Amino acid sequence: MASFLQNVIAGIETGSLYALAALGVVLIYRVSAVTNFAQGEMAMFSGFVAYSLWQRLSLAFGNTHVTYIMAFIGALLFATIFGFIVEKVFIRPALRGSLVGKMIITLGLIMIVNGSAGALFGTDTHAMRRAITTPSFFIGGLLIRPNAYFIIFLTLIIMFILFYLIRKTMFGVAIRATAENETTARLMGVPTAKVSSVAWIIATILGATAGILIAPATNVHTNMMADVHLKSFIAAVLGGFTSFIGPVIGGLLIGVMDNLVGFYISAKWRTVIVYGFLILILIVKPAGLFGKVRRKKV
Amino acid sequence: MKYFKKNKVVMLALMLVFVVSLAACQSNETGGKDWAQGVTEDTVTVGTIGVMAGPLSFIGLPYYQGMEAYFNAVNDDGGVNGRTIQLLKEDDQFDPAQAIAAAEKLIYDQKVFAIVGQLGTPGVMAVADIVEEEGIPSVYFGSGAAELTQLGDNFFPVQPNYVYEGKLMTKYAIEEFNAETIAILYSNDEAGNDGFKGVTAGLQELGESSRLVLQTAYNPGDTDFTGEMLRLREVDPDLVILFGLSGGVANILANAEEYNINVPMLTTYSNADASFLQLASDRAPEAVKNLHVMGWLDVDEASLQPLVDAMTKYFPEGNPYNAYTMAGWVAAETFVAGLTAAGNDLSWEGYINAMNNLKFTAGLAPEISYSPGEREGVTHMAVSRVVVDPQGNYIFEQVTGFDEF
Repeated sequence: MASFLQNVIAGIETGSLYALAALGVVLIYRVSAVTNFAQGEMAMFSGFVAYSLWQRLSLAFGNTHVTYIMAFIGALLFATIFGFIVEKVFIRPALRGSLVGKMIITLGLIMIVNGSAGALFGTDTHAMRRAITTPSFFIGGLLIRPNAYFIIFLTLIIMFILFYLIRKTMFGVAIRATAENETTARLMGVPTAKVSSVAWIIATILGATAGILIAPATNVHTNMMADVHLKSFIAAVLGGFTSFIGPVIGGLLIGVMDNLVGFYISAKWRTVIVYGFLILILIVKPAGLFGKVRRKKV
Repeated sequence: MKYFKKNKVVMLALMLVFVVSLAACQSNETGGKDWAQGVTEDTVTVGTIGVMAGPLSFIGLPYYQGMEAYFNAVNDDGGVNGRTIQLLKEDDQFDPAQAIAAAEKLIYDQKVFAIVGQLGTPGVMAVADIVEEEGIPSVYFGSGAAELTQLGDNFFPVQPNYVYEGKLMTKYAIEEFNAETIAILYSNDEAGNDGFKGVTAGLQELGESSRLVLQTAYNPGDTDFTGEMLRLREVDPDLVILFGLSGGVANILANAEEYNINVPMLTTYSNADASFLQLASDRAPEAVKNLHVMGWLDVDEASLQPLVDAMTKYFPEGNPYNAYTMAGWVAAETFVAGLTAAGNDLSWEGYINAMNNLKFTAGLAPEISYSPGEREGVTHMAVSRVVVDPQGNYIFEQVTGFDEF
């Protein structure tokens, strides 16, 4: 039982980070109708910013919680500006372009962001500290990892804030209206350009948060988000691109299933089994678990 | 009629390609001497392929600096038999498709005499067919792929292959670690699978298969090792073999620290490097003290001095050396040893014949030798463990002599 619980908790920890990153992907998709393939690379860049800030601040003021929090906040501020610039410079000019064209832009962004990270931060791999450094301890046969519980708690709070924003505020109405039909929303007085800009900023912040929190596990390097990004995309597809709760469930499902299949069935074959199973789900529900199929009324 | 005309054009084009290819592969007859391509009166041009930019450039950059430092030092001393060595580098970004394009460019366009020190198993394996077909000498591979020992007369691997290393690990596990029970965690890629094959084969040959109590694979990108740690706690082995590369092994050590797994661990020579040690000690300052690494370079201060001098002279701004620099240095050393032995008989056949009788002991590796049909590379390895020096730095300390399976 302890082993089962341990695997589930660890799965929820990684799964909640996939969910955060996936929410960013879905948010951008709904508002800008763009699948942002560069989400992972943008998160990686923010991760490097957090690491560099933490290193510099630690050198100046010592490696304390305060310097870590300052680096974390600094990286989120950077992510805010980063998301704003990317939307303004790369996405908005192509607003009326084809879907494929916009996707190619985000693919190009991968090259630009990755190349810039390599040039600015180097290609070495670095160890990042955990958010909570309190040592893990056992209760019975169960290892209690304070950092894991913190990650789950923090991502839950972020998700609740986001869902509140989307469901209960005027800004949320604007997002949902833009997602539904950008032209109509604009005609109804919704500042769609601003909505798109804010959506990109929020998505970049979500990605950056996921990147910084998972960095102690992946280490900080230019390829650190490759696996997380892929899994967050799968989470979004599994949950449904048209839903906000879907990617969260998708992310958690992937995290937990990865661990349980690896432990109880086969570690070597877990990727094949888990993703084979997910494909089966998508065959039964092509729009994802919570996605809606739009049917045009005649 | 039009059809025949078109066919004629195609035939002519094919003939042209054939003639050009033949010319590319033919010897370079200069002044009546039968030299292979890439050789002139005063130069030998060789090529190399590997990762020089991107996430894995932390391997490629020092590796190629080591190689260039050696060639520069040889050239400054007058070269080999009056010829200086020119190195052409091609970056494949660790991508097999780019490695093939690079090999074609080096062999057919730039007409190099040999490929020296190609880096990275995926690229090495992708290019192997071309190298085999052309018969061009290929000396030293930055790869532990076991297939390299079987590919042909013109392949000269140096680094121990992972299957062999896995076998040798089992010998050390039993004789040095006195491990009654052994667990292996291996990455689900070529290196890890080869290592796992070696460990199971080694135990079988020693009649000790029952000592392997846990075998589990992980994906190189995995970050969560909960399942693996729970299994390790369950079986509580005397030794854990970690057969995977850098980041994955550092992640496992970090998990082992959290789960309080306090048993000796042994990992591949590919991790016997300061950059890995820095990462692993940052992630798992206690668990890393249980770590032991295999090593195939027999270095001491005196044997390293030429490398240190050359690095200081040619790359004054970088680190003096690390394990990758040493590997690049050995690649160049091995090629030059063959070039010296071949004398002026610099056809591909002449060079291969010279390498077939090579027994080189003056370099950083204990012994590099080949004979016709025998391509094992280095077979003697030692074990080092991680210790903390008085200044608090984590370092490797050799704890066994060099031995073979």
